Amino acid sequence: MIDGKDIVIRTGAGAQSFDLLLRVVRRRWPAMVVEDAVSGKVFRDYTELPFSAIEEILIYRDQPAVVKWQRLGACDELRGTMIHALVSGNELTVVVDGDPPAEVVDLVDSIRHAVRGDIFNIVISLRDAA
Amino acid sequence: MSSQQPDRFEEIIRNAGESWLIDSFASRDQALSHLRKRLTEVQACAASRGGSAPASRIDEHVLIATYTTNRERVRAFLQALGTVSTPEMLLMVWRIQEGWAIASASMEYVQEQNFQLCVQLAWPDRNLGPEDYKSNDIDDAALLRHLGILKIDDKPVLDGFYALSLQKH
Repeated sequence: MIDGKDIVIRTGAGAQSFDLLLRVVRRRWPAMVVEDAVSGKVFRDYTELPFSAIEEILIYRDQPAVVKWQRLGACDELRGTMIHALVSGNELTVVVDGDPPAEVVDLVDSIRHAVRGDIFNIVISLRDAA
Repeated sequence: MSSQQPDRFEEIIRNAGESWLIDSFASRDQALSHLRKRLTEVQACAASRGGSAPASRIDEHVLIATYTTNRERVRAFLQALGTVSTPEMLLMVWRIQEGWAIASASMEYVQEQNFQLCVQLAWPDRNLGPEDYKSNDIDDAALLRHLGILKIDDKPVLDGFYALSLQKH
């Protein structure tokens, strides 16, 4: 069995967090498979993802990883093949293995950097329009 | 359509918190007409570009349908619709939102003489692209502030097109 580690990232990105997170992950896992952790619905294509309707996702490295996770559950052989993420309020929580491989550590660093960007954390004030 | 009747396009603009797109015009009908005209121009641009990749379809019906599943994506596009000047760059925004990656971007600016923004998109996993987008209109510089800024293994990446957080006071 492998343990999980929660990494909580404060961000104003809200629902946009998943889009950004998946754009990071797909650069390393181009065959990633995304599962809505609540409904169990699986998405193999980025364009199918209904970002407004999902709050918790599982991102598998590829389809063989999906099959192995379903068969074996959390075990050492599957270390670094799945990332769990959820959005709530001003937080993005990324759950990875307790002792994640370097590739996953790098992915999380990139995700943290991205969702902390100015665009998500600066509020622009609109004047009353005419 | 009567000026008193809300329509679905107006509803999503207002529900998205982007009422400024309508209220900054003298008349609501004039504003909606202008926005629809701009969408028509973007659609015409998409249809005329050719290339190996399928053309994007972008009109108010697509925006309305997308809004139910991807509110933030539509909100970001609406913000661009209100600030970005050329149909070509608006098409580029939509392409990025569809999942295309920004392969390269360059901006050239000489005070009171020249502005040029060049962006190349690609979708390597699908063997799509490259597609080139160019503008000489400095209003299009506004789109740069919407791009996601990443570092992958400490290397620079621009990816995604995101909505700004707006607050009315």
